[in-house]
Amino acid sequence: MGSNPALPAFLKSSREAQVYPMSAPYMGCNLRDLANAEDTTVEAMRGKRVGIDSFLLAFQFLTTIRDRSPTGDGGPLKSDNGKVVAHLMGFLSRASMMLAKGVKPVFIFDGSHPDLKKDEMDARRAKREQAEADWKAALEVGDFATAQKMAQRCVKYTPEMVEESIEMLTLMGIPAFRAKAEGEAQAAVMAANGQLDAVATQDWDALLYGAPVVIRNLTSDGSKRMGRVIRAQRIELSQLLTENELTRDQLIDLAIMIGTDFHPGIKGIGPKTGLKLIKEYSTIEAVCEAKGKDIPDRLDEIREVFRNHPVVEVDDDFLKQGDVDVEGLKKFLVEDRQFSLKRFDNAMDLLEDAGLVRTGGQTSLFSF
Amino acid sequence: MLNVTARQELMRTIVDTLGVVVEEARLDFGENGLSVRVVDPSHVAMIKMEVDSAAFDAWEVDETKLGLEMRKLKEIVGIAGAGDMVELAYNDESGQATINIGRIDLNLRPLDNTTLNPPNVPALELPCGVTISGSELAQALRAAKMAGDLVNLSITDSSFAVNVKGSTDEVNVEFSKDELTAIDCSDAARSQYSLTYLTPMAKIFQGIDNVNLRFGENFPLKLTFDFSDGAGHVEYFLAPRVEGDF
Repeated sequence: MGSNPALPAFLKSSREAQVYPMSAPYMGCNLRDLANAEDTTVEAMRGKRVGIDSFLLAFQFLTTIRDRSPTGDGGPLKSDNGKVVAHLMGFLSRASMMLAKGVKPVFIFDGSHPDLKKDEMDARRAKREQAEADWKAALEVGDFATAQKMAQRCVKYTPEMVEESIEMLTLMGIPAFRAKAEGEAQAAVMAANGQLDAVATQDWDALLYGAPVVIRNLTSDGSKRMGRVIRAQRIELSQLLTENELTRDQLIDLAIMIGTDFHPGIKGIGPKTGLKLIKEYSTIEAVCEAKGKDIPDRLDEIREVFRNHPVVEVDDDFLKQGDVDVEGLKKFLVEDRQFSLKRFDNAMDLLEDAGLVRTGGQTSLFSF
Repeated sequence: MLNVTARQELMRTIVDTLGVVVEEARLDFGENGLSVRVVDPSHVAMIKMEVDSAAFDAWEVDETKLGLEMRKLKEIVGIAGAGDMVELAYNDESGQATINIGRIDLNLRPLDNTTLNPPNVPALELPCGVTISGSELAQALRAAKMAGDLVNLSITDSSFAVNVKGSTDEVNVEFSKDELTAIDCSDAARSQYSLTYLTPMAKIFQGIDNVNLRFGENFPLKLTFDFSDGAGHVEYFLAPRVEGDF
């Protein structure tokens, strides 16, 4: 997989208009100060069915698996035939790593964003478009350093790339699908109704959507960032609520005051003040009345998005790990996308160790 | 708190049986006995085992789930002689497990329980069944292994047969109704299994008087038997080999 000196194919894409209006990973409402996160490991999730918030992860791959050669454009890594493969490379390695460690991942991608999120999406789109213009300008004058910086800010994850990711995961026998709306919300609802054991996401909002257990940094556990080792962290909703003496509805109101994807929040109220106020007054309406603030627009709609997020119904059978389609996966990666045989074989070794590669008609007990 | 003692033979049966399928197992000790469920990493073979506390010589148990390595247990139980008493203790305060055999004390740290989740036993409707002497079945499987690795089991309402067709050799073993303890089969069935999985299990049941097999056409095998005068019970499940898509 070498660098392609030409402008990335997706820049010229006529499908530009359909591109997801998301520019950078968003971490959700900052609940860090409320949460008593405990260090954990991938190994500790062995045997657990974990819903993976895949959109954020794809962005992480697209911004970190890049063409960093001195004259590279800094964009996501592409194969020699010009296809972006950074997202697939990332999903392949993380998914096989998780399977090898006995985790049962379920990859959940965003569907359509709630109408309430329009302002946020517009802002992100504007930011990305600016970065894109700066990127092209820098490439034109041969300023590769700036180009590489800008490239990270205008990464796009197109519907085709989502479909492609789902296709690859399906070939690996892994359940993968698109949510009705927000991916982390779909995962949270499924965790709350017992279909999943935990939600892996960086997005704190998963707690607002009712995820009983959220794991942060699951896919980057053990990796190094800026000289320090990243550890997976486990946050339990019930513990968070008990320790802060909050109900879930109060937590949602608190988050709305601090600021969420759907509303910028009430000016002058941060996590600390917010917590104090919500404990004293219990609801946003009461806080606003006591403090002479305006009640956020469409408050009830925002609350509803957190309390009853639209989700697709997923059958339990669909969530079972299937067998790896070795030939299909090889064609998809090696033939069609020029992955090296070595990379493919490494992934296969991990999957074989996990007992997921079947040969000669041997069935699994769980297919009966 | 946990403190159980049994003769070497019982401990050996437990450890050897589970060792056929997994390297690590979670042993659930309850007031009335031991129960274990394990599945091999490929999900081809599974064991469900129950041992009544009556089979043990001492049983002082507060409900305890203990994750242990079969290889280590096999080795330590192998060091004990026939008739020796083997004591297994666990102290939840220190998190330490101890196996005592005479003057030997082996202290070991149990495995992390949370990573050893017992599998759900598949709900299977198995239309045909046969009860047969463990030693005769083990002998048939041993002979079968000479011709190849894939064994065909077939059953009708009056006979049960073990067959292996290798590339050059073939082995047939047939049991008629009166050579079996019991047989029931509404629809003749045939199914193929891997001897790689079945042969190690045969070593376990070769000393057992009665082994019950149930299966269906291209369907999983369920093999059940008792040990320790009925105080111990094993259910072994094995997924079939099926030609074509699966």
